[in-house]
This record gives sequence, structure tokens and C-alpha cells, in this order.
Amino acid sequence: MIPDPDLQLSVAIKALRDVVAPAVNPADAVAVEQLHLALATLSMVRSRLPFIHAVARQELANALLLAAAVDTQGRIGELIAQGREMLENPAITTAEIDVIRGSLLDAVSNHIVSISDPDRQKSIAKAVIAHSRPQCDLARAWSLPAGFEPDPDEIMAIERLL
Amino acid sequence: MIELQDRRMTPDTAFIAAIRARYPVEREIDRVLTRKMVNRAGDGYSAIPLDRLIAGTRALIAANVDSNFSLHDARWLQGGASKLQMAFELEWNGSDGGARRRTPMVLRMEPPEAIVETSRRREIEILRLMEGIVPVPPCYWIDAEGEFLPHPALIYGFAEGRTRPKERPSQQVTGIGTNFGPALRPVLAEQFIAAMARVHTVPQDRLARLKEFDQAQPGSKASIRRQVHWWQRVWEEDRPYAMPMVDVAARWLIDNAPVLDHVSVVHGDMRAGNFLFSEPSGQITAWLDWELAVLEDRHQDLSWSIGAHFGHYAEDGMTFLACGLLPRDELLDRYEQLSGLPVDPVRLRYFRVFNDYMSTVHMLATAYRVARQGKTHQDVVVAWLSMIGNVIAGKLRDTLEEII
Repeated sequence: MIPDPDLQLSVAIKALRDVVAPAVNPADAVAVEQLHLALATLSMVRSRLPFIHAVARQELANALLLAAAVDTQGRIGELIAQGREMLENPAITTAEIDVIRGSLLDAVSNHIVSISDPDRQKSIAKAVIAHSRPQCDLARAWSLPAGFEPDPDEIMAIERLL
Repeated sequence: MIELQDRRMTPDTAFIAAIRARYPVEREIDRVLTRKMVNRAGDGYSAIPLDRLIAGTRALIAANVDSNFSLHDARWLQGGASKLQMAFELEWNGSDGGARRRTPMVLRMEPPEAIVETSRRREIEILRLMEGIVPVPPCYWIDAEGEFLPHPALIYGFAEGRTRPKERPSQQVTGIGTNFGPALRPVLAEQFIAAMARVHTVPQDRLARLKEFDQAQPGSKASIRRQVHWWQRVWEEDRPYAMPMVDVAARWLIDNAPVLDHVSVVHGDMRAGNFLFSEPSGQITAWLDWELAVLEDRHQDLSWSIGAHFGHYAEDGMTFLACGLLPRDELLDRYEQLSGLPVDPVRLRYFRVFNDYMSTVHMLATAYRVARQGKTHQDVVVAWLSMIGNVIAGKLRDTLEEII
């Protein structure tokens, strides 16, 4: 496709950096800050664009593992089956993947808060914490360019988590 | 897309009522959160001309003082991710009707929804309580319901000072906290700890007179659980999708809430960046951002101030400096000396979880929500900040793995 999204983002970044930024009143600190962050945001989106669909698939895979560790019956079981089917379907869209993941996580959350037995609560809590690790790692890798990691060298590159 | 099934974009009365019933919070917190949800489906933020704010500010002042005043040098003020701020000078005769003078002031106004939804009534009440206890800007007037201005707002005095040194003192430190440099650190550190001690030891009879804060009772777990409910409620109101780990954290916080041993004013965001100092003298000139203040356990502030996000490693590459000021243990030891209150490591750990939970809610629920619905004057800033939520949620998970 011409122009591809990478090209379009590149030219937008160049225009903002080389033409718009010098025209902004340097005394307008709010405008300067927002332009700077708009540029950073576009640059980050450009770096993440090639991974968007793969990340959605990985997020669903992470949610499926988490859900299966909590419960495999009832509504959760149905959604797990649907989610697994989706991952087998090459024509599935990123948006469809996000919808099923949202539904699955809602079902898991509702299940967790409904548990009253303390022993069961504890075992489910342990499972949730353990199976949340891949998603936490993925989200931190995604956000790495934002510069908020105290020890960025400890964060895996996003390519290695997909 | 997620928003196609997102009831939180346009919540109906049943949805709002169900969440209110499920998570009981303080009365004033309930009022502002309910207002937020009722207005959720309304317009996002659209640019407000400076002239509109000037006119609203004039009207607010005119409702409180005689008509012999004028506004000068109004300008947008940068800083903070939460509220709109306009600096100006007021030419008037003062609240005492004395000599003609020009007083620098700040208008602080809410956007339609903020990264933290808080009460201007509470903010002005706590600022007034703190006058004479720690340096705070003088408070003037409040527009609690947006009667004069487009949204609720307050006016306080402009405080001189900086949040960080003008020149970066060293390139040799690592981390993301403010680097004050070796010369300024000890000067600011002592004032920082002394201020925290004074805030936490305001006499109980003065706390009992606060009108906008529900009281907390020593010997009870109820008030701490009430604070957990606050952030559970915000999570349910704002989140884009569920995160089971967040539910686990909330349950742990409810089940393990400590008994309150001493009621303190908790600032709620006590860290480098929220005080101003005079660079020549090194004196702290003002403590800012009291909007998250609660009557609660001092360990919330202590744990917050020693958190990884607000500190950095010193020039030796090994010593972690809390808030970029001094090592954690030194901060805690000195706090005990100055406040006369003990520091309990079990409570510190509890509030580490609490603070990480609260920050996860701020960033992965509210920041997402307000940016998604275009509710603030700086959505690009808020959306960028939301990414720190992924760092904090990762830390929260690691901590939960240690303790459950």
C-alpha cells in the first residue's frame, strides 16, 4: 500500500519536528510540552506498529492461560474455547481478538470476586499472580520507549515475547 | 474494539448506583465520583480561551470581595497532569481592606474529568488546615460547583520556587527521580522529613473539626478499608477491561488492612516534585498538590516517599536515594526522631501494596478513560503517563507473589 502507515507517520513526525516546532512560541510552555509529547507518541506508535496484531494475539494467549488456571467450566470454559478457536483462525482481526479477550477477563474477574472459601481464594490468587507475569512483561516491553522503567536493561525486547 | 461493549463510556443510573452500593466511600468522595459518572457521557474538554477564565475568575472574586480590584498578567501555567492552571496578579486592597497591593495568584480548575477525580472543597480545607504547619500557598476562594467558571475551581496564592534545580547538577546518577545534586540534598532532606513529621502529627482536635473528611478511628480497620473501596470503585468506574491481578490485590488489601494506631493527615502524594524550593537558599517555600489528602495511616506517605519511581541512585551507582534526597533507612530513622511516631515495617509493606494498587488504578484505569473520552486539556500527557501504570502493575505483581 502506498503510502504505507510507516511512511505517513514518518512524514507527520518530520513536519511537526522541522516545521511546526520552530513556529511554536517557546514561551508557551504548555504548547511546547504537548508538541514534544505528540512527537514522542507518534514515534512510539511508529516503532510499535509492526507488532500490533502479534501483540493482540499474545495478549489473548496470555489471557487464555490465566483463565484456564482459574476455571475451565461454565462461561469461562466457553470463552476459552472461543479464544482458542480465534488463535487458529488467520483471518481474525485485531479488534475481534480484543473483544474476546475483554469478555474473558471480565468473566475471570467476576469468578474471582465470587469465591468466598478462604483456601480456594488463596489458591486462585496464587494462580492469578503467577499467570499474570507474561502479560505484565509484555505490557512493560510495549511501554519501554516511554522511559519510565527504573532499570530498562532488565526489560525484554518486545520481539522476544511474541 | 473494546469500546463497543464498554458500558463505562455512557453509564446508566443502574450501573452508577450498583458501583456506589458495592464500594462505600467517604461522603465527599462519593459526591465527586458520582458527579463524574453522571457527566461521563457528556462532552469532552474543548479549548477554553484564556479570556473565558479571566472573566470567570473576575466573577468569582467579585462574589467574595468588593468591586475595587483588577486582574493583570493572566497566563497559562504549566505543571501537573491533573488540573488546568492560570497564573495572574490581583490588584486589590487585600482581604483586610488595607493598602493597595498586587498579589500573585493561581486559578486551579478541574477539566471535565481528571486523572484523579478529587474535591476542591477538601483541597481548600486541608490547605487552610496546613497554614502555619508547613509552607503552603494561601487559599483565597473556591468555586465548588463551577458556578462562575466552566468547572469547579479554587484560587490560591502563587508560591515562588522551583521543583528541580535550574541546572542538572550531575550526569552520573541513574533512575528517573529528581536529581537535586549532592550540595542541595541534605538541606532539602531535613526539611522534607520535618514537614512530613509535622503533617502527620497535627493535633487530633484540629482533625476532628474538618467538615469535608469523614473521621478515622484509632483501633479500627474501617477507615483503611474505606480507602481501598475508594480505589476499587474508581477501578470499576474507569477501567477499559478487567485485570484479575488487580482484583487479587484489592482482596488482599481488604483482608490484611492494619488496625489504625494513630490518625494523621496523609498528603497522598508526598514526594520530590510536589514541593517548591528557593534555589539560592535551599528553603522549601511551598507544599503543593493536596488533592489526595486523607485522614489515615502515616505509612501511606512514608511508603510513597521511598518508592522507586521518585528516587534514583547516587553518584556511587549503589546508594538508592529516596526522592533523590537520602537513603531510605536514614529517612525512616530521622522521621521517627522528628515525629515521635514509630515506623512499622509490616505497615510499610502493606502501604507499598496499597500505593502500587492505587497507582495502577490511576494509570491503567483513569488515565486511559479520560484520554479515551477526551476529557482533559492535555490528553496526550495523560495517555503518555498511563504507560507508567505498566511498570507499577509489574511491581505490584512481584510484591503479591512474595506475600501471598
